[in-house]
Amino acid sequence: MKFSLNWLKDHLDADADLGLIASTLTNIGLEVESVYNPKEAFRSIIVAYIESAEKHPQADRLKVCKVNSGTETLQIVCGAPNARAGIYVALALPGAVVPGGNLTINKTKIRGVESMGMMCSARELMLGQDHAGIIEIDKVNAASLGQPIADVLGVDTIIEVSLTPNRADCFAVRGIARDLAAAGIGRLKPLKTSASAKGVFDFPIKISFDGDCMDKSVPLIALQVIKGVKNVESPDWLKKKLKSAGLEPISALVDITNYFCLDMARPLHAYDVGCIDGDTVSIRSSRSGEEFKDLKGHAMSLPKGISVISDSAGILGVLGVMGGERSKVGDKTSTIMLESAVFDAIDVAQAGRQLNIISEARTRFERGIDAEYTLAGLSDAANMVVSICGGQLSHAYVRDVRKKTNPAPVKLHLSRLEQVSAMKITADKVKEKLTGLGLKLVSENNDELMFSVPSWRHDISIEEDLIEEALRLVGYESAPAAHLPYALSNDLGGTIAKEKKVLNVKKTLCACGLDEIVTYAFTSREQNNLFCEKADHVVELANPISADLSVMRCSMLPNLISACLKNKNAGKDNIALFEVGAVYKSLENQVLMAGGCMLDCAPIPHWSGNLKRDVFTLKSYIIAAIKSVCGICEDVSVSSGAAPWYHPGRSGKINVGKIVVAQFGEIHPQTLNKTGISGCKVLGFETNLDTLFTLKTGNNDALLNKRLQSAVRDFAFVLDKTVPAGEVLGAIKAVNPGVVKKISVFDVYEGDKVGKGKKSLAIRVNLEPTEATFTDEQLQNISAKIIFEVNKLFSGIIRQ
Amino acid sequence: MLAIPDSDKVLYDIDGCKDLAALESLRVALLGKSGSITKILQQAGALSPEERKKISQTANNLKNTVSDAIAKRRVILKDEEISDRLMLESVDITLPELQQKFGQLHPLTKVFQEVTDIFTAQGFAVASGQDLEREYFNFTALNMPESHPARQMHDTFYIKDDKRIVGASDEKLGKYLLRTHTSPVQIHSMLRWGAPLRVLVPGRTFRCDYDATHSPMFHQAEVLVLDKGISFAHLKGCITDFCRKFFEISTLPMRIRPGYFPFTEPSAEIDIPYHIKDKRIVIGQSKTEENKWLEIAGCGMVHPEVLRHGKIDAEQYQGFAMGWGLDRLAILKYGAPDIRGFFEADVDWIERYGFSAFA
Repeated sequence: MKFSLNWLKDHLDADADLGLIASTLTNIGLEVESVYNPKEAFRSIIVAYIESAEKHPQADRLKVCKVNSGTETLQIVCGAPNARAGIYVALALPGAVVPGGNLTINKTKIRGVESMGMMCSARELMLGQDHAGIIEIDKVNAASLGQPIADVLGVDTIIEVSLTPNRADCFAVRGIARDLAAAGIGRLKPLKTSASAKGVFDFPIKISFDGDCMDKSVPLIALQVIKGVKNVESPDWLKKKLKSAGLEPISALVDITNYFCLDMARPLHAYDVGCIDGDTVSIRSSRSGEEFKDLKGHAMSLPKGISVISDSAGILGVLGVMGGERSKVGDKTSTIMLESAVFDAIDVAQAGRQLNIISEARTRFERGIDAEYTLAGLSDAANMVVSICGGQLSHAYVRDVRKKTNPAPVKLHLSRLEQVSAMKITADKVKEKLTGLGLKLVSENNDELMFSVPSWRHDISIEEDLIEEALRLVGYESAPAAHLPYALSNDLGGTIAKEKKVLNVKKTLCACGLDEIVTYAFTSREQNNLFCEKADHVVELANPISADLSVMRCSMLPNLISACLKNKNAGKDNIALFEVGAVYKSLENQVLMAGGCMLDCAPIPHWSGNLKRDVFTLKSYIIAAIKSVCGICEDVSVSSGAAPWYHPGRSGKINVGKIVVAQFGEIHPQTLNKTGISGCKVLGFETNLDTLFTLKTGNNDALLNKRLQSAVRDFAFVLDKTVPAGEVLGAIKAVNPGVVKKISVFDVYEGDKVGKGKKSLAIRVNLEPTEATFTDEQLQNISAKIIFEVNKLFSGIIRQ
Repeated sequence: MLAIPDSDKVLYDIDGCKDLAALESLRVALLGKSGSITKILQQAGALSPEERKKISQTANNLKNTVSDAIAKRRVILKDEEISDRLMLESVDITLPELQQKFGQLHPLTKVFQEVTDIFTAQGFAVASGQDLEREYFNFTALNMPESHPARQMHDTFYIKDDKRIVGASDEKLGKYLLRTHTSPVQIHSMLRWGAPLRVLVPGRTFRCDYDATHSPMFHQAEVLVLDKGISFAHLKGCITDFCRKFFEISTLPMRIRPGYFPFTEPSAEIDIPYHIKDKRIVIGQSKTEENKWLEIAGCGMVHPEVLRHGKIDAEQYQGFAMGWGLDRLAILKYGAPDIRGFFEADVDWIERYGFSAFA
């Protein structure tokens, strides 16, 4: 909402300076977005008088002028065709900043002739579009010489405020003035309502209401016809006001309706009666597919059920939103029908949204307008039309089917106000502030004040509304501040602990060299489906930004892989990324996942031997991350059978006990083909943090025992190639629970020496006694048991 | 007459030994079983007592001097030998190491961690809620009924109507959508834990809006406090404390002005001062640059309608809520130019704006 200071002062009797007005507006919730202060903008631009203008000796188009600035005569070189002796001009002195173009004026030489400033065009001063010549100021005399141009031209100071959606009343300059007055800035002037505009002939048009359903949409409508008008140019005061609000003046009839819209938040519409077909106008609901061209010339086809006004030839306007081109007033208009109404806010909002039309009228109707100013507004506007455009008024047509219910008064308890605001605001102060807003004190009973709410405030209906109004006008800044009272840390549902675990996983993956990324939770259907086990449960957006972002991801992998691809295409190598975030298995199943991806392209050359990245690198990272959460995790095991988007022979599942917590591996080459990556292997993993976090965290019991001499035994088994090493290790551990502290594989051999289809696994077992140091016999028994078990379970033969 | 070797000559020879082997053979020649000095001492027995005494004394002195000299020379030669070996073993220590780089944490993780630390220290729990919400929790329960204009201003992503999903058409809960703010977790928290309550809700939020300053996904942190005797003063205090702590400026001023949110009343918006330095936003007041205000949070006292939906006794408990944009906090504190880079997964960006995991 934009308005000039002068306009504001039509309603507000105040001598507060601009700074105070602006800061007060912000402090009471009408946030000032910008202030255009011409005194500031036109600093060092003054009224001057051209005493002589001679042709420039070096340039045909330039003139050398002697210009009287009030204190001295300056030489100015000027290129404007209208620069001539005997006119008053706007002169920018050295140091001035010309607003249009942001040009700083300096003393200069133009083609060898000194120039002490610049005479400005309307466009250079941002006072209009004219740039053909310099501004000629009329109606001034020698007494004005040297005066600031802003004062002499009466350029408006313009304030723009950003309004919150609850403040429908402040879409009127008067509403803003009222708020300021209530906050203590000046006094609200009484409203100048003209005498009711008396008609001299009958309302000449038949109005038909199409069914009772329109009663809800159009509870009140008032129409008045004015004949014999001349749609002249608006008077200067009116043009200036509209310009200050950012509207271009069009013609008196249009400008008057716009003026009431901005001044009083009273939208009006003027129809050219000459363009109405037939003698009947209907207020009705639109039929599906009806054509309409709005007054800006946009043609559209209406859906069913929009409130419109129509004649026999079709729709004249969408009520409360925008009038139509056909009945738009123009130069030749001689008879108009002026409309002032109350339309249902939700109806107007829906119509505007469906038709995608934003208008000043819609903005006001959908937020709620002052119904009590409907008839007076029509009358005021009609009088203004007659006074500017002439013409004769008809009697007004009024249809009022509003349900006559007075809004209930609202109670305010002073004790409650004090409790909420933590400060004492006296009854007198509250009364002063609230009545300043137009509320009326209905009754007063010690602690309890009862107020009735004015017709322009749709946002006040409960005590909290009054508390907010009182506090707002007293000023939030003056309310006290207090620290929260101390409270013990309270981890409801263990979520603080959970966040710490998340951080541990992230830190561990960073330490493994992966960079953390955050990507959109949505992705493309095609990419998503590559990594979904149940594609029919995929959650799809009804209104995505684009097809690329149309489904909620069911895996971390698609975004990670495309991030790898993007960085690869940008020429990066050594790409390793992870993300912690949600995946959406179905509408009610959001899972917290950590996912990671590494590219294994050409081996990365290094002087000490090429660096290799393979599934085992990745596996060590995942297990590190898992251990960062659940401590020692005794029973971490790896098994095959990962999801089908992994390479079947180079992937696996990581289990803690019997619970699967992660899947990892090389991405299946056929899946990878569809992601756009070529020439590289991609190693990926996902670990379900929700599951992982449910696991019990373990401690290393060994440290609790007395330290006893440990022993190391090495074994080499010849096994079928297909026997998973993990299972052999698991079995060895299970043979002597608590004693086997660590098992490692230090060699894997396949070849002639062990025979076809066989492999040799060299295993080192670290043994630690629990009670007393091992005897030789005990160690021999343990070794024998290990050899026996491996033979029994896997047909493994100890290699001699 | 026995010829006693010249001591200077012998010492000169010892110092002249270039390696341990040479030194050893010299030692044998002098002090070995048939070394020249040993021989003198052996032969001295045949001399007269006077001569024997004189010769023995001189020879013994020489023997001691020579032994000491050899021992000293041996230490020196041993040191030299080790040094020579180490020289041969030396590597070019300036060659690049094998250790791969550490990854970096995303700035959102850093900011999230900082915000969480500040609030958990004040007795707040953390709740995250679900990204997929129902209209009821996202709007209706937050005092935004169907026709509320604010509901349209949220640019909501809705989920495609899916008849297979049981409950999707539940009348009261309404349609599924992506939450447009973290505020629905206010209702979930009230229903789950009741009052008194202090909870911080960080999380992903979504609006279908995409330009230089808007991303369809962004991050908020909601703060909700419910207790007996909670007032607007606590709201002001809590916000001031947070801003000062987060921006690490103990005297950071704050501007609080009326705002509008359907789910709080009175509602307020919070501004903090900033200035531009080297084309970047710097939070805090400057003595030399022009200071301006920057909107940083929305907040207010919890609306009674919201308490009603959360089944909280509004007669007993009051409270406040506030909402922060985590991406925005990250931009302001750590200087990323705009929100879009946050989700582009560009490793150069992460290198520049990310954080060491152990910082």
